Amino acid sequence: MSGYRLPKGGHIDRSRALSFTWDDTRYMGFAGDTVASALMARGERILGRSFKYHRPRGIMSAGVEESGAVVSLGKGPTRVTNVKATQAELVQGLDVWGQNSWPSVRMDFGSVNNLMGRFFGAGFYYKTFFGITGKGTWEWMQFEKVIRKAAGMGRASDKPDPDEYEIVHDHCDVLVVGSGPAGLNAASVLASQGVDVILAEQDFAIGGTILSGLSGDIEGDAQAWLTGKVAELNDNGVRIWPRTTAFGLYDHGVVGLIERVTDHVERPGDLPRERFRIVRAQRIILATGAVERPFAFGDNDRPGVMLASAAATYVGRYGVAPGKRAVLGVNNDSGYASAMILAEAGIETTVLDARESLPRETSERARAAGVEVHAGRVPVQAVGARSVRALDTGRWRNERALAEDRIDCDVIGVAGGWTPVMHLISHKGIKPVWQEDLTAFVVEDPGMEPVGIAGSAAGQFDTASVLKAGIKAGEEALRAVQGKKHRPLPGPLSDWEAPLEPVWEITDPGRKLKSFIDPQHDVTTSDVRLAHSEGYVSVEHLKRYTTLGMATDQGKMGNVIGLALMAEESGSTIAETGTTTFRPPYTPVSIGALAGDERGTHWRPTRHTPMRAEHEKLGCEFVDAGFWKRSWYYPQGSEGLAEAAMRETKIVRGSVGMVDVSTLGKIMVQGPDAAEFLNRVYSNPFAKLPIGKARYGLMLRDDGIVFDDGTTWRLSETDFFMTTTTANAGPVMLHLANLLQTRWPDMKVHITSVSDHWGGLAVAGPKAREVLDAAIPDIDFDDEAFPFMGVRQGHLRCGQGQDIPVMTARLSFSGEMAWEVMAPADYCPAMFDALLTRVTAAGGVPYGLEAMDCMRVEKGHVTGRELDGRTTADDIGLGMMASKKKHYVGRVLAARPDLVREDRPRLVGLIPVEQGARFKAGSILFPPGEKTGHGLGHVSSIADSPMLGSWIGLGFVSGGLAEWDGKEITAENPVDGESTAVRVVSAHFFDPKGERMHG
Amino acid sequence: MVERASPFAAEVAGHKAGITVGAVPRGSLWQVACWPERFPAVEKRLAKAVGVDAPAPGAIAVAADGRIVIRIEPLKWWVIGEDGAECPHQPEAKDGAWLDMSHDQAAIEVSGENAAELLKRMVSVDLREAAFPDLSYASTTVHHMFLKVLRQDRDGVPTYRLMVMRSYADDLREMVAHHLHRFG
Repeated sequence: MSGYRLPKGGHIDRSRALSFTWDDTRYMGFAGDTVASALMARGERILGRSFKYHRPRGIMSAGVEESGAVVSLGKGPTRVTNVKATQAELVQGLDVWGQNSWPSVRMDFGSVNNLMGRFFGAGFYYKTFFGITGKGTWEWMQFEKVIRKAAGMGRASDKPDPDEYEIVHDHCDVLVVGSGPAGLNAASVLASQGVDVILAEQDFAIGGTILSGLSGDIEGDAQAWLTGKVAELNDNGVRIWPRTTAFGLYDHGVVGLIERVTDHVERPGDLPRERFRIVRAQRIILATGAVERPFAFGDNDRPGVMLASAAATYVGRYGVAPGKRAVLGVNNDSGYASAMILAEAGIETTVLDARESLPRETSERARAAGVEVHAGRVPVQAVGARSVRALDTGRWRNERALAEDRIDCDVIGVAGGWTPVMHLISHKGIKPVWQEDLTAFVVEDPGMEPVGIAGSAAGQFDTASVLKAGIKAGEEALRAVQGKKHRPLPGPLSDWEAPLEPVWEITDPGRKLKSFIDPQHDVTTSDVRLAHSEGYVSVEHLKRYTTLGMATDQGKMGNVIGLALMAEESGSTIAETGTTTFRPPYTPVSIGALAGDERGTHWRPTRHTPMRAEHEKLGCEFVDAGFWKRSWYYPQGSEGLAEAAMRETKIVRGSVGMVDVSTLGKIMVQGPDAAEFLNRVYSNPFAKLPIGKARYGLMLRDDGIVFDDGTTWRLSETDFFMTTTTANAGPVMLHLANLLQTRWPDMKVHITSVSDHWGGLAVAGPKAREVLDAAIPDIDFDDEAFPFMGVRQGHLRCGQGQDIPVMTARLSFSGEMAWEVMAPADYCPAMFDALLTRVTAAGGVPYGLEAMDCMRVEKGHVTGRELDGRTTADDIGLGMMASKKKHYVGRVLAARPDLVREDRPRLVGLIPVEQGARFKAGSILFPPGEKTGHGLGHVSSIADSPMLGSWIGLGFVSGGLAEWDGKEITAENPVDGESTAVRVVSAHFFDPKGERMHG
Repeated sequence: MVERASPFAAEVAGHKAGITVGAVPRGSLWQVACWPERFPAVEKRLAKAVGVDAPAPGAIAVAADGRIVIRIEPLKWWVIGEDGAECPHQPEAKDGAWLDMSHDQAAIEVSGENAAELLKRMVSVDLREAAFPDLSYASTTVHHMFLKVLRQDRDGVPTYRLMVMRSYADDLREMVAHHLHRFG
């Protein structure tokens, strides 16, 4: 027999029928169903296949702890795998698929593995495939490919996820996690006092165990109580979030939650599929409930075997009977409530209570409800290949079962006790303590965490205690948020009539049983014993060797049983054995939700210079440089990068060009101590830099390695305008702030980033003076009036009466006569247009990063490719700049023996021996005849030089020019195997005396 | 004088579900800084020059002429005003420093009863009424960008000004537009 829909009852909306498919077969369910309840109502029993043996699996629970009914939802790129059917809300048009099977979960050829199950114990793969041919790790890696292909649960789409997600930040006074009786009461207490409360519930319905009927009566009518509470909370402004799972607890009251926004919505519009909520709460109440646990007996994984509370939940909440004839194996009072719910629904129900001493009143009530009750009896082995059809029972004596009779049944419920859900508090490193009387791990003291724990999550398993605990937790949180010292948590309470009898595994001396403790990963009680016998005595080792608790349910059902068996094997107590560590997330989280909107072009920010539109008008191609979009080249006709850059370079060298240098870091250094500050920051002198002059500066790290370079312009006695490389704008700013705040706090210096206030163009080439003379009439650009490294301020003429203020300095990165012209950013488009007109009239062009890079390589100027965090001032040929007379950052450690070795790789120029040959940046440089090892150094930059008519490069060679000048070495590219003979030359390929830029 | 160019490549405008989005017109932004021992004197002079009570950290002060003063760092203030406005107080070097940053920032205004709901998609600042009332200020980050949030209600309507470095203007614009489209 199988499940069916009851004619009445449940919290489903029978007026709203929903159509869905299960492996392409169309079914109907109702609003309020889960996929599991709808399939159960349709009589489906096999909903999954186990990981290793491919044994048939059915519905085992009614919540997140599900290990059997694990399915895939959706089609194509929106397909989601490893969804627990017991959690998935049924929606119109949903496509549900079985997984880990072929051709289907009902008929799976993979189940042949089950026939060889006796060989597949814990550690099977390692033990078998590590030593067949004696080749060790190599051999394992070959087998591993095949094993990994056979493993896995479900097949995710390899297409990009088309769904949208968003991240939302929320704040509240108190976050209550869980909307069962404890959570509702806690929220009620707080909200009635005006506290700002968020109530988060992972289920799509509010109410927890009230929905299944397992809470019994609350004030006469549990459903009425629930409805009233929800209305009251709404009236008091509580933000109630169903479908929202708190998956992680972090420092300072930060909780990560995932809200399922549109999975249940037919037409989601522009809403995201999921919302990652980051909640910052002053205080948190965990009313997360408890998960019922089974105990192990023979073939306890057969479809039809489920938690007793789950069987009751399908009846009470969904109006679905899991079968016609149920036998419940229990070891505590709570199983009777489940039994009574089943019996009241017309299901023939028998309780096998492992305890000889029955709870008198409870058992009598059960009998009065039509439940058959047997004391001292336990389930021994489920009977039935594809689903349960009977149960072999036994008498429970001295922790062994003595075989008795067989009971025909189609449902076996197990009530083995309860495991408080304390994952969230465990994320903070709080260790739970084993409570023998509750047979459960419980967190007794949350320490300094702003967390209260209430209800079943704290080990209170009866409704009256849970309700009281909710109120206490609310009151305690109220005192905490109002600034009063909070009292310690109430201790665990229980008013069960008879104590729970620990039962972990049913064994029968007369038969060999296959008893599962982690059904999803096919971990059996035998695996635990095997692990122990092979020396895996720590729970952490047990977990990894057997994979217990490593499936998608993360051991919510079976972990405690595994620990108990381990304790038994090692002759210790469960308390001594301990438990493994819970880590976020509590339940699986979509990667897309963690990324939120930071995807596609927004996976990182994009920065544009103020002249973006002007570049675009000219057809500029951009290149990413950090967050920046930099102008790369301006193709004409069918030109590609190489052709355009070659043309631009030639024109700049021949007449004039202009390039956007707005991305340079720009820092204002102000104050009476600014000059002295710069003098300490740079390795070369700055104390006496005259007003109206700029100086190139080399900045070292504390360890003596070159940090950054750039020019600093003195604008007044107390004002300096520093430029940095584009890449180091942020790091230099942080470096300077750090020095001022920690090393020299008494210096009267303010630093301010003005990188975005100013935009800049460099105008370079033999006709640069001609262009600027005309463009900026109030500055005299003659050599004498405006010498190299001079700084002047004036106005750039953009039209009649259309002047803009500019700062300009005579500097050159290209090696040509050049000026950098800086203007306030909003005026940069006008500056660009004005200068472009004059540059074009002079036969020049705008040029991009590629041409600029080519020209600086021709000049032997360094960039980040050379200043790569490993080079010293001497390495790049600038050691002579460093002052011998003053102290500066990095001076002491720059004198370390290893940094002044003569054979350090030093900057050199490289040119192919064979005309027309090329080599790549990153190539390793070797002496002739060698091609292995670390070599002499490497190639850092390359360029196709129009001025030399050859490929050229910069690189570092051990001993530098002194040792290798004019000699032939080899550039080996280890990636593609190319080898090029190159000659070592000076890095100053073009105009080595600098006559062009000084001219 | 040349007209100032917008930092945004496209129009910043939108209205949905009680949220209105628009660009803040270009204006002046002056930074006034002081040395620690000169803080009381510079603060007093600056406040007097603008005509406001000196703002506390986390708050803004608004003058009758609309100028806004923010204590942006322990020893620095920003004065935001109309385009072309002069620096209201220029400390001597012995007292501090001042600096024109009028082109440094780009700003978008988000207003309406649900404006905070949109901002929650971007910043981790506690925007609840009790924590971030009218005339509040916070410096935070959004998606690796430094962001300044100023609240200056208009006729009782919650109104937030979001300021980022100019080069990030379009990233901010696209981000706000993206979140806005989710509101109906």
